[in-house]
Amino acid sequence: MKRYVILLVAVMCVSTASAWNKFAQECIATLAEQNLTPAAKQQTEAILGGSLASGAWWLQTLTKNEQTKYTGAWHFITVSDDMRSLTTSEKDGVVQIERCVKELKARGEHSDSTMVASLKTLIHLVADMHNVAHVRIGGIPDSRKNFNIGMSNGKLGKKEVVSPYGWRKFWDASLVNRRACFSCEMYAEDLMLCYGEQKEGLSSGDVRSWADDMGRLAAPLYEWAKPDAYMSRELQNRMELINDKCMARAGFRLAMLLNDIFK
Amino acid sequence: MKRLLMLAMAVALLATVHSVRAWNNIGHATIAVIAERNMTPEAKEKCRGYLKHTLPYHASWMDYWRNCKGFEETNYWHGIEVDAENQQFAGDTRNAAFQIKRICKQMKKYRRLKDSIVCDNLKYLIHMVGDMQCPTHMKYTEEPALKQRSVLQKDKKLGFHSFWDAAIGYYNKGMKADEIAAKYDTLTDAEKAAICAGTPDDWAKQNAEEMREIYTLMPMGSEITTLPKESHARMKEITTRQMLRGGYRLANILNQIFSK
Repeated sequence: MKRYVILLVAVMCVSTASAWNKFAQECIATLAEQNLTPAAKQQTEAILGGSLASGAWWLQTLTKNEQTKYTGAWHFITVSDDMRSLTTSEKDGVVQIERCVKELKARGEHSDSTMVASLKTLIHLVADMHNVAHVRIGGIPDSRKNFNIGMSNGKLGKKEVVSPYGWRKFWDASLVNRRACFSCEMYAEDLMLCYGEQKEGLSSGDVRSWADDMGRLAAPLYEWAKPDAYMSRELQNRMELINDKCMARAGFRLAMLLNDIFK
Repeated sequence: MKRLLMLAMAVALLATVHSVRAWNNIGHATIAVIAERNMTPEAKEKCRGYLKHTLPYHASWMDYWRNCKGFEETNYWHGIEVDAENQQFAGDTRNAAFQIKRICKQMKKYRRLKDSIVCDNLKYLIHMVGDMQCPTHMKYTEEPALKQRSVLQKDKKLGFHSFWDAAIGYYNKGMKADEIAAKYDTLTDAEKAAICAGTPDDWAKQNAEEMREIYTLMPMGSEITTLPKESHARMKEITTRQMLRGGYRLANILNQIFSK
């Protein structure tokens, strides 16, 4: 019996996702699509045979296959404690994004299937690098772990229940699922309304500077985000604003990259 | 061991069961989408300008903040208590109708208010106008037992209130809020005008009179999945009607505020 109890608790607590969930990925891709130039839109559609959102989840499916499981490491980026992106390892998301950009720019030299794979990989990884729990920061060991926080159910007094909840799962799914009743177009419209005026500022720089940017954003969170740290409902609500802004950044930056590749 | 098992079950429940709160997310979002579809371009632009978001984005804001410090009082603003004659209690300020009227009055001079206050007022209105149409948010005080009423869903106990909170999603499975809104927002202008006639107090009385029906449609302990088709058809009808009322009435209130 004890074994089943432990197993059940483990299943509930351990994050099963290692990327922003499908809905978040598709919303980011939809936001990017809405910010593509006509030329970029036409060419990405020609490669994918559909919208950017249609290719947004593909990379995640590879992590379930034994032969392509190694791609699981690409969903994370690493920055040093001085917030300069460390991009030496091929396992790093930033290196993979740069590879995809290079391949897509030299599209005449590669096969159609490589183009499709590169574009799908790029869409997914640009989103994932903007997920707070996917940024590994030098000097902050907790940023490399998937620990449990103590998540409040948001009730008052004796009705409050604090349960273990995966830190990564919180960022991959919990916050974005508050909007899962929206269509991606509707969520993208909201992100555009809220962050559209900042689009230029948010999408300036290059992939490495975006990684540093995410490091600066994520690092202060680990001052309180430690194993078993208490997360009140109020804090969950405030985290949602960070999550939204990260999604907006991802969408605008993905559009910027694609507009540059397919000019 | 028993305690461990109970703990595990509690964790499992927490992770799978939607918490009890007003219409759930999809219900509130759908009502807000219907409202946006029926607002004047000017009202919509002004609302979005103050909110810096769409209306659906903030539709469940009151639920997310209701138990946070400083918001405890708002816990009482999601429903309306009525007596055996379907009347609100005189002087009851802890109810949705009273708070909607209070905010509408304040918003008559919205230009003189701080932007942050207008923004918060809008978030309250978006939620409360929806919530006061939710069937179980009419609280019949002469029947306290109704509060504890439960039904069954595939043999599992489910709160009667929880079922109705989730009814918009239940009767529109697999659909997103904007899809549901587009499907049902088909009433004529005259029908919409009839829904919007009256005041929040009139709407409360109308709902209080009509919502008693749900307690006969779904007897205590009944199994949802085996209820007669006619019962479900009627429950769906009620759900859709209340959803549309929420959307149209909210649009009407906001159009009036921002027409000035």
